[in-house]
This record gives sequence, C-alpha cells and structure tokens, in this order.
Amino acid sequence: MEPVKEVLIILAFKTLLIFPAFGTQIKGTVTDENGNPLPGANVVVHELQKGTHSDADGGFLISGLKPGTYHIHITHVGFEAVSQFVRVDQGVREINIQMHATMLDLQSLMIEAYPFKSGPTEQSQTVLIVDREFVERYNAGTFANTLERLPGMATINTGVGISKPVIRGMSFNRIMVNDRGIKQEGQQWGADHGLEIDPFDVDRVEIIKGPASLIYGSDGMAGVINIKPAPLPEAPGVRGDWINSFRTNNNLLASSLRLEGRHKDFVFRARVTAQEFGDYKVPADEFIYATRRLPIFDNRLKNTAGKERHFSLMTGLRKSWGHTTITVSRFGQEAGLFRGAVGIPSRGDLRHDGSHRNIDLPYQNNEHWKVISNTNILLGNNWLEVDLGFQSNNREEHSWPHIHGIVGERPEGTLAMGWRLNTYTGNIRYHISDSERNQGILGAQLQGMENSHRGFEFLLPQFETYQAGIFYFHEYKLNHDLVINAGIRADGAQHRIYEHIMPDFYNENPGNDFMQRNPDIERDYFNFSGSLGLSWVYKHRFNAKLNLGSSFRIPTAIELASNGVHHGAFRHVVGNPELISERGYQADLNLSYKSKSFFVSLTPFLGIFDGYIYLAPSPRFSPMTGSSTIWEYRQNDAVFTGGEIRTEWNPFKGFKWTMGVEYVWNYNIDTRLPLPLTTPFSVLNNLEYRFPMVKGTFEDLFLFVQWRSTGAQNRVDRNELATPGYNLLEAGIGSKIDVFNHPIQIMISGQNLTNEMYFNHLSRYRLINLPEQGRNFSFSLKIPF
Amino acid sequence: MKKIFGLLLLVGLVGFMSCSDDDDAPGIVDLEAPVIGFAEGRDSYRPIDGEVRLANTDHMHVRFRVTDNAALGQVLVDIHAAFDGHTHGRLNNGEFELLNVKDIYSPTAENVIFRFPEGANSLNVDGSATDIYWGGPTSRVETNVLAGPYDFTISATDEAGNSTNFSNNSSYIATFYIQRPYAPVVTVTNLEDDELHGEEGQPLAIEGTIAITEHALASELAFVWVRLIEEDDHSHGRLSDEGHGEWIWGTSQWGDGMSGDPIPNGELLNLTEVFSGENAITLPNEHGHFELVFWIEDANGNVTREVFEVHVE
Repeated sequence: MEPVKEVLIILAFKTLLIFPAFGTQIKGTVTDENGNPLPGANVVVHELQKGTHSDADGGFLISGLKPGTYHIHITHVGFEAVSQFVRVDQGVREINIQMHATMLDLQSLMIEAYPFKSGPTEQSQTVLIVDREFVERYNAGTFANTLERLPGMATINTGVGISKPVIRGMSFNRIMVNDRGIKQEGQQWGADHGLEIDPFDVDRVEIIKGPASLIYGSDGMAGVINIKPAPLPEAPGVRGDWINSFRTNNNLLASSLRLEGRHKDFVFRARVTAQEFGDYKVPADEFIYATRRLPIFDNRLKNTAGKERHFSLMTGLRKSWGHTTITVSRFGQEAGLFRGAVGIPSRGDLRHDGSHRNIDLPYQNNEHWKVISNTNILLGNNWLEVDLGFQSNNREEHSWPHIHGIVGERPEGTLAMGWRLNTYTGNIRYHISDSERNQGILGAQLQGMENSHRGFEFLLPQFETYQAGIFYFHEYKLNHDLVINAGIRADGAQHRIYEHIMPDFYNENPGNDFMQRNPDIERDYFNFSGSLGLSWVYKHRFNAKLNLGSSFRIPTAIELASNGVHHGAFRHVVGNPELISERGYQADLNLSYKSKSFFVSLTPFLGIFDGYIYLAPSPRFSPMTGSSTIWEYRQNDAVFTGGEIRTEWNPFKGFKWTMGVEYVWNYNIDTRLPLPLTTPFSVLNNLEYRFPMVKGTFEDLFLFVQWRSTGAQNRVDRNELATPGYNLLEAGIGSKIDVFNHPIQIMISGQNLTNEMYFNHLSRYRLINLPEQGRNFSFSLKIPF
Repeated sequence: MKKIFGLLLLVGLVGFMSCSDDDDAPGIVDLEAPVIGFAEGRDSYRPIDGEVRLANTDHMHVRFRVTDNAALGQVLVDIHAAFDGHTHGRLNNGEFELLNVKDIYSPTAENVIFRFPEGANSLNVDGSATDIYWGGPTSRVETNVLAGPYDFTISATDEAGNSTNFSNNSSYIATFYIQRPYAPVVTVTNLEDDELHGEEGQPLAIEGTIAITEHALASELAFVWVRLIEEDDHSHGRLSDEGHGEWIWGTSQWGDGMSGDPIPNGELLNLTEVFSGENAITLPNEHGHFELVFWIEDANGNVTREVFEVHVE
C-alpha cells in the first residue's frame, strides 16, 4: 500500500471517527476586565437556543454544531451582557470573552427578540427589556398594566381587567404587539378592547420605541412590544412552577401552573392560568355625573368583575440544524362593564345586586386562539427564520337591545356586537452575515385577515384585508465604536369591505324597513419606507444612537367603514372611505452614559405625521339612541415630540435607585389643537434594597418603595376633559424561603397606599368622572418543582 | 408637505421649551361650547327637574335658550324613559308605548319648526309648536303613552364642533313625570299643611288608598314600592341614598328583578291596613323632614310616583 493512500485512509477513518463525535465546536473562556476567569456565566448560542455555563476556570465548550455563523450571548449577574458574532468551519473555534463588571441591572440583560442579533450597543433604536422577575413582581392582573412602569409606556384602561398598552402617547393600531414573532390582531382599534395576553405567560418583553414599520410592517409607528418565550428548556427531565396570587382590592384570585421539560432533542412547555376577580373598590362612595350624585355601593363599582381562563402549549425539536417549535394558546376572558357607563347612569342601575363577583349585562366575552410555528434553520452559513401564525379572535359585547333604542326582543338575545377576526400570518427572514462587519436581513411578510360580525347592533362590517411587504436591512460595523444601519421596504395592501344592510330599528326613513350602514369599499395601498441609523460608543461609557425612519399605517376597516354606536364610547362613530395611508417621519435620539454604578439615558423623539387619523367630533347629533354627537374619522397633519429620562444608580451593594421620566407633546397642525388621549407627564421613582444573602432561611430578601407623580393633562382636544395630576405610592417586600429544598418565592406589595382618589386621563371611565382603583394589597407565592 | 417641514423646525425649537401649557394660538381657535339657559323673559327652564304633568294634561312645555360665542351647530332635545330598569320589550298588546323624542334643531332641519338661520348665535325655544305632546293631533306617540318618569335633556353644539357635556354639567338634564288617567292613583287623606306628621321612633299614622282607576285601559296593581328617605337636597336631584325603611309588594317590570310579597289586592289597597303590624312605618329617632316615596306599577307597566313630606317631631 502506498504511503499516501495509507495516510488518506487513516485521515478518512479519523474524520469518520472523530468528527461525527465532536463535530464543529466552539471552545472559549470567559474572563473579567482583569483577565481573571469568570465561572458560572450563561453562554447561549442564540440561533439554536442551546447553552451551557462556564466552568471554574471560565471555560466552556459547545459541541455538536454545524459549520455556520452564530451569535453567542453571554450573560452573568453583575456583568454587562455580551453578544459575540462567531463564524465556525469544521473543527474547533476558540473565542475569548471579556466581560465588564457592572452594578446596573439594566446592563446585564440581553436583547433577544430583535431580529438583528447584535448587542444593545449596536442597536440604533431604544429598546427596553423586561425580564421574568419584573413581570412577576409587577403583575397587576393584566399584561399592559405590568408594562406601565416603564418610561414612555402607559395604558388605556376600562376598569381593572381591561387594558391596552400605549407607547409615547400612541396606542390602538399605532403600536404593534408581537407574540412569538407574530403580530397580534384582535380589534385593537377599540378603547375598551383589552390586549389578549395571559399576564403569566410572558417571560421576556422587549419594547422598541420609535418607528418600526421597516422590519415589522404597517402599524409599528410608535413602537413594538415583542413578547418572547423563555429559552427552550435546557436540563433534561420535567420541571415547573406554580404561582398563586391574591389582590385585596377586587378579591382577585389567580393561579398559574407551568410545566416544561426536555427529552433528548424534544422540548415542551405548558401553562394553564385561571384568574377571577370581583368588583373593584374606589376611594369614593358616590360620583357626580349630569348634576346627579350617584351612589357607589360599598365603594365597589358594580359589575366590574371578571373571569379568565388561559392556556398555552409548546412543543418542539432542537437539532444542530436549528430548532422548530409549535405553540397553541387560548386567551379567554369574560369581563363586566360598569352599569353606569352605558347610557346616562341612573340610580336604579347602580343598586347593589347582592353579589360583588357576578358578571351581569353589559359585559364582554373575549376569546383569542393562536397557533404559532417558529422555525430557525441553518442554510449554508446563514440562517432562515420562518414564523407562521393563525389567530382567531372572537369578541362579543352583550347588552340590552333597548339601550340601543330597539323595542322588543331580538333573536340575537343580548349579543349587541360580535366579531370573529381570523388572521393568517407568514414572516420569513433570511440572515446574511458573512462577517461581523456586514450583516443583513432580507425579509418578507404576508398577512391575510377576514372579519365577520353578528349581533343586533352594527359598527364594523364584514371585511377582508391582505398585506404583503418585503424589506432589506443592513448593518455595517465601521469599527469597534461605530455601527451604522439602513433599510428599505415596499408594501402593498388591499381592503375589501362588504356593504352592510340592516333592519331600520330607528325608523330613520319611514316606509323603508332596511337601511344601508356602509357601502362596498375596495381600496389598495402602496407604501415605501426607509430608515437610517447609527450607534456610536465613546470610551465604553458614552453611547449615542440616532435613528431616522419613515413609517406608515394603512387605514383600518373601522376607520373606513364604521357607522354605528360604540357603546364603549357613547359615540356614534362614522368612518371615511377616502382616508389614505398615514405616514410618519420620525427622528429618535438616545444619549446615554454609564459608569460601573450609574446609568443615565436621555431619549428625545420627534415625529411629523402626514395624514394622522383620529376621531373628531362633528357638530351633528346622531339620530341613534344611546349616543350624542357623531364622531368622524378625520385625517390631519400632526407633530409628536417629547422624550424620556431613565436613570439607575447603585451607590452601594444591594441598594438601587431608578427613575423614569416621560413627556409627550403633540399638536394637530390643521386644527391647532392637541390630539386626544395624550399621556400626561409623569415621574416614577423606585428605591430598592436587596439584603445580603442569608443562606438557608431568607434568600434574596428585598424591599422596594415606588412613587409615581403624574402631572395634570390640560393639553386636550376639543370637547375632551382636562385631568388633574396625582401621586401614587407603592411598596413591597419579597423573598425566597427554602422549604424542603424548594426555594419558594413570596411577595407582598401594596398599591395606591394612600388611597388617592384620582382620574386616569386615558381611562374610558374618565368620561363619567369615575375614579381609579383604590388601595390594594397583593400577595403572591411561587412554588417551583 | 412644505408646511410640515416648516413646522418641523418650529416645533423642534418650541416643543421642548413649552412643556407646560396649551396657549399655542390664543384667540384663534374657538373652544367655547354653547351655553344653555332660560328662555327669554322666563325665570326657569321647562321642564324643571321633578316636574309632574297631571293626568288631565297631554303635553310638556319646552322652554330654554341656547347661545354661542360664534355660530350654533345643532341643538338636541331628547326625551327617553327613566323607569330605572329595563323593559325587556314587554309593552302590553301594543296598547302602550314609551315617549321617545329626539328633536334636532338645525339650519337644515326637515321640519321648519326646528330650523334656525345658518350662522345664528342664539336659539330661543318657547312656543306651543315646539312643546311635546302625548295626545292630540301633534302627539309623539301613536297609541297611549306609558305613565312614569322621563329624562329630558338638552345638548348643543357649535359649528366648530364644540359640544355641551354631561360630565361638566353644561348639558341640561331634568326628570319629569307623566301621569295618565289609566295609571294607578295614590291618595293620602290625613295631610296637614300638605305634610304627614309623626313622632320620633313611633309608627306613622297614614290614611288613604292606592287604587286603580275605572279607565278602560287601567290594569291591576303589579308592584308597590314605598321608601322613607331623607328629605331631598334638591340641588342634587333625588339621589341621596339614606333610606329609613323600604316596603315592597309584587314584582317590578322595570326595577331589575325587584320583588316582594304578593300584593294583597290588585285593585285597591288601604294604606292604614297595609302599613300596620310588622309593616308599620316606624319613624326615625330624629327630628326633621323626611319623604315617603311611592312607586306604583300596574300590569301594563304604567308607573305612578308620588312623594309626601313627613314631619317628625
């Protein structure tokens, strides 16, 4: 045998023998700034959702990889999170990670949901991150209310159980909520339509402030809320936890059970949540409306109770080529509406009905089903992400026919309005990352929606909407301290809205038994948008980000074709089929400074909107019962500006002070008035102390005190009420207690401790002078197993 | 687009400085809603809150005036049932109906009675043509109006869209009561100076009847609800909740499922007999004026509401 052949055979044999066993590997060490090894760092291959921890010498090894490009995310408590781009070929690739010590909690979190898998300093937009601990600590019964504590965020509430998020003074269809990569679609145009997300089924939330149409499509004008699931279960076996909570104000009882596990490459996670609450208490025993002093029996707002049942189930496979998961979830909520809020409140309606837990008319019944598939596959050196979703939103609003001026009973019973909105979504993103310098994403999005309606009332017709968009986004790392990015996007959309004819209950046209509420409407829209951003780091401490972007939003079916009384708002709302796409030209700046124990960021923004669509009062009265004037969708040019300040200071170990300041100023250029529903100025201060570790008994014992000061909102649109300012005090204590080797987490907190009587400018109940929820104590218990 | 970019510069400069208030363009933007007041030469509205229209009349006077700093848009006079509950559509045999009025006064109103000149800054309503009838040739009901309480409201807008509002009390609201010859009648015969008299802590002596009339459309008594409450603070309507006793017989069509013992007699109740024994009206242990409020429904849904003052010594 020739020696060469022999060598080849041996090589081939070795290849067969060795490479399948070890494959491609990433081997590395994690050290601190002084080169000392850092054990216990969490090292995750982002694309594979696969990870390990560094050992006593700071070393780690990730094997079983295929050649390709990866992003390694390294996090460690007390150190700034690091994202490292790695390109590996056959064999072993060695990397060394140096981490910077920090006392700032904000800095130790990594952005995970942004499709661009670069680190926080490379982003040109402001991204807020909320982790599991934050979600659990501030769970206020709804997902949106949890986020309210972040600077620049607010909520539009209808009582306690129904709330929707607001970013920088914008809400409804101007912000986007993505759950597991799929845009949530659920009639979000309505002020009393809450966001259908189980508050317990949220692990991480990343909020991008500023225009995000470029990557996410129509509607992402003020920002995007990305809800991201927890990383895929790592350790083999089955684990879980059980959370129970109780709130005194509305006697809320919630229980949520989570189970997750991994067997070889197969992973699963399941969650079931049940939540029920009674009528909530306000610090008032009467309210004054239409010169009448109306009683609030027992300080509880009648018929504001609710009942919720949610579940989600995820299963998936994790391989060296990537991972794929499928998630099925259902949100179910039945929520009563305060009796006095439908029509002019009368005393008889406000009599105590003998129970604080029953749900009587009027009420809402909301159900949201989702089937979402997320796949990430390695193609050559690059990654292809495919997110597919089907959602079915079923919304029912029940009330008495006579409130709507209808004499007699109706075959629909009490169903005033019911809508089923089915949405099919497909998002494809191809990540092209040849080197750390040049990374790009080529993406395409498709969405189809169909809406049908039921009920004896009418507001929103049957319609179909189709949207498609393609974009390319590129990030270029000039040097270690300067990153620039740019993107372009093209979109097309079509609305097909069907004529609606219904019986003329109002007898508007004598002799004609039917009336047309809206005609057939067919509209096509085309939009181009672009963005340009940069992030510059100076001496590791200063970071300046600038983002210039154009955003767009196609008018919704409700804005084009509605014609009816939305009893949620007392208004007869009339759409305008001639509306064109709303366009925004937005500039966002983020200036931040950080030292080891101090962080401050200033994030001003300016947006000019061409054809901003909003509801404006007309001088005409509605002929329909239960409404006053007619409100029309109009389109005007508008300006939004303002900003946030955010600080974190850790003067000594365990002690933390954070502050968030927010302000929004807007102006309707055509009417020379502010726009309606603008978030008031507010300052949120939080002091927290984490006691030194006491092993065995109370671990992780912490205390916090939080004070929110909200200014008056006197900048109001025509016919909108100004709202005085208020102060809210909150405090809490939490700890882990070791019971039979199970670290049980307990927390007790109190909200609105001074029982302040105040109005929320954005609340739907503000319209009838109803104060917000009074003092509350929350108790929660988390039992892991 | 040009004006947008011009404003971009302006707002960029002004935006961050003008954190406080809204006086961007003083005097240019009209934000004043119309004002609703008494009709010219009158010293009150019609109807006023609590006004009772006796069984022998068939209409309600409507008297008010609306003025605006610029030009009026529209004025709405609305009347709807305030029966404190929900009909569930049971209006017997089509013999009765609720009074439902939505009169919109505007420069383009179809009916000339409701028309006013475009650009007008005031509208005075005080005439028989705009009064509201439930009988006679201009009746607003086709059959017979259901007796009972009705909410009467006035709202107004100006051309710019500014509107009066119930939250800040700039719209007008009053409840008035329609009595009809076919509705039940409450008669109290032992009044002195229009008041009932009693001593604190003692049962109230009351004489009289609750009866149905001999009208062809009269029907049996279905619900009797009597309350003893603090004398009304009239500035806030009839809504104080300080009850000193409540007596219920029968089942209400209107009040949300309210019900008590069966009514002893569907045609005639003697007040002395009814309020005796365990049903005696025991007066509170304090001097002062109280009100005894009767709410009587017949089987057709007609409501008769009568209030008697009680003087406690």
